[in-house]
Amino acid sequence: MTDLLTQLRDYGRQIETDPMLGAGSPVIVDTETRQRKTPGPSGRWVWAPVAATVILLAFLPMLLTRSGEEPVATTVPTRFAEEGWIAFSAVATDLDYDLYLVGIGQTAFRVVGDDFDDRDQLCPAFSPDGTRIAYGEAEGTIDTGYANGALVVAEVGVDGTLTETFRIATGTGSAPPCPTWSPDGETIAAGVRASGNPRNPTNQRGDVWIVPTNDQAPTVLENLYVAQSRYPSDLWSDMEWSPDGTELAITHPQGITLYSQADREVRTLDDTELARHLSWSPDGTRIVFESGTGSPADRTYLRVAEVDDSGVDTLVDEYYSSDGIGPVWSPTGDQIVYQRDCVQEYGLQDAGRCLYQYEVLLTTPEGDEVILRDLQLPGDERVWWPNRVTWSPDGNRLLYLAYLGEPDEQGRVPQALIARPIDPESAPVLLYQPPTIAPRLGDINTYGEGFQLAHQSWSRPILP
Amino acid sequence: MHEIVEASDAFTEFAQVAEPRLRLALGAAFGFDLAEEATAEAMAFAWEHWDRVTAASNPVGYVFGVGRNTARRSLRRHRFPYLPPVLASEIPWVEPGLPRALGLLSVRQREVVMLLHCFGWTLGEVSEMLGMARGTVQTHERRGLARLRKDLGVEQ
Repeated sequence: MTDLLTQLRDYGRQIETDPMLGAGSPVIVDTETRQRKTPGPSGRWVWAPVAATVILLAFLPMLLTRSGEEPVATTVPTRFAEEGWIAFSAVATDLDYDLYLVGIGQTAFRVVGDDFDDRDQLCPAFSPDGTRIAYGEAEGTIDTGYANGALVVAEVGVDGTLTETFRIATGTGSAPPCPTWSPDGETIAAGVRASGNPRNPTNQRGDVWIVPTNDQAPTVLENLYVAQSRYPSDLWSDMEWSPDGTELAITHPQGITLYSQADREVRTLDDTELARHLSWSPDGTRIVFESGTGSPADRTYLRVAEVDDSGVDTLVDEYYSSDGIGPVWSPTGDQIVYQRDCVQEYGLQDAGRCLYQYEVLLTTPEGDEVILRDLQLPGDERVWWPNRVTWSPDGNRLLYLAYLGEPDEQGRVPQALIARPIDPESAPVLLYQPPTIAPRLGDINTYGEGFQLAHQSWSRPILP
Repeated sequence: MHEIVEASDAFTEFAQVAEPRLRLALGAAFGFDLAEEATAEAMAFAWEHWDRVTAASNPVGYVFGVGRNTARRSLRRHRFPYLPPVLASEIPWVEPGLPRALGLLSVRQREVVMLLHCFGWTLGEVSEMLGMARGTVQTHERRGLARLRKDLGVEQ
């Protein structure tokens, strides 16, 4: 048998001489239509490696997790979530997304969907008091396209059982809508796509539906929805109610749009063009948002807009956003979590600000940042990269949908739901890992971006 | 005007050298079906942000990072990178299972093994393109080759 290196060399020659592959026609950059750009706008917070190092050193002790701590057991027989239920969508044993619940220290269980329903249940969202859950459902999958989408609301029992209370059809050709609750729990908003087919260009545009939970008669804000992704499973934070429930903020390429519940009018915040993800401050005076084209080649800005339209500040200048659902303001209001892709950073002059390949950062509203160390479970050296990170209701933990940085021996990427305490002295807890890895062949790549797990929502505890 | 012409010349010179190398490196990492588009996007980015590219300590590595991110996002719906099948009529001594075995390597291992051994790059060239220390390149090479030998059942 020919030795391996010779085989590799000859295989390489085959590729290099293939006119369709290695020696393909040169790339032509159209310099007439592609304009050279000047550096982006600079904000108040310009990073320097020294500053990053100082901040890191100051917070390093807080970021060190206690070693040798045993993971919390995940098999507790009772079904009472002392710290609130966590809902998530997962492709676990079948070929579509179903809804699951899990509590800290408990075993996850499926609450909606089965192995043969050929429906995706996505975007679970707990009501603010934790007694109800809203989610989107549709026939089909992201691979086949969707039909007969519906917005569904169910009551959540103390033991995590769900009892459907109502469902609203969102159109024969629609995908699962992703709902968000008003703070009083009386209204739900969701973006409804014009098409359920991810390959249809109209898929990413549609209407915003405002649905009162009492009479379920929707108000439709036509053509106001611009989805951030072709796939509902790639939910990003594209709309959110103000903490007082008077306004719904919606991302839009032309700027953040605010819909007033009282007078049913919309206004656009100045200087918020290209807002892609948003999150209200708990006091309702500001909105943090990521601004950028969404192109992987373009960098992103983290900005904060005053809701009274008095101005927009830049918190973080020029970074590459990494998966995630955008910035999320902590329930306590003192921190904002966001994700950064540092793989592209290494060639830049300011590469020193990055510590890891994919980072989760906490920033204060004033822009003081901490980079969280790579996420590792107790007794396990493997690094879990962040896919989506949100907060627990009390602001004491971060909830990660995560994936392993390197594929396993079969080239598959294990994914997991992990709760990470903000207190660095407390160990992260593995909440759920699908029993099989990536059964949905078209959906998972070697970087784990296929979202075998999608969406997480952490409720306040329901008292028995 | 004079400045723009100079920039164009410099870019053209850069592109002539970097583009074919980017295509091979991105193809090794993410599959050759995605490499062309990712290379095109990376080169367009380089043109648009030429100041940044020239300011980078490792321009080609920087542009490779752009292409890598583009390809990585395009890869969402693919499980394995596309590596062309072995043309048994032309190179019958190459195992037909070689592309699949390469596809099962980690991205880093595959990048390193293919650039070093399929395309004959030097250690320094691979190190520069991938922005990786030479020692790290060698580690990925060693592990990648060991796994290939195991998967293909070859001893040498």
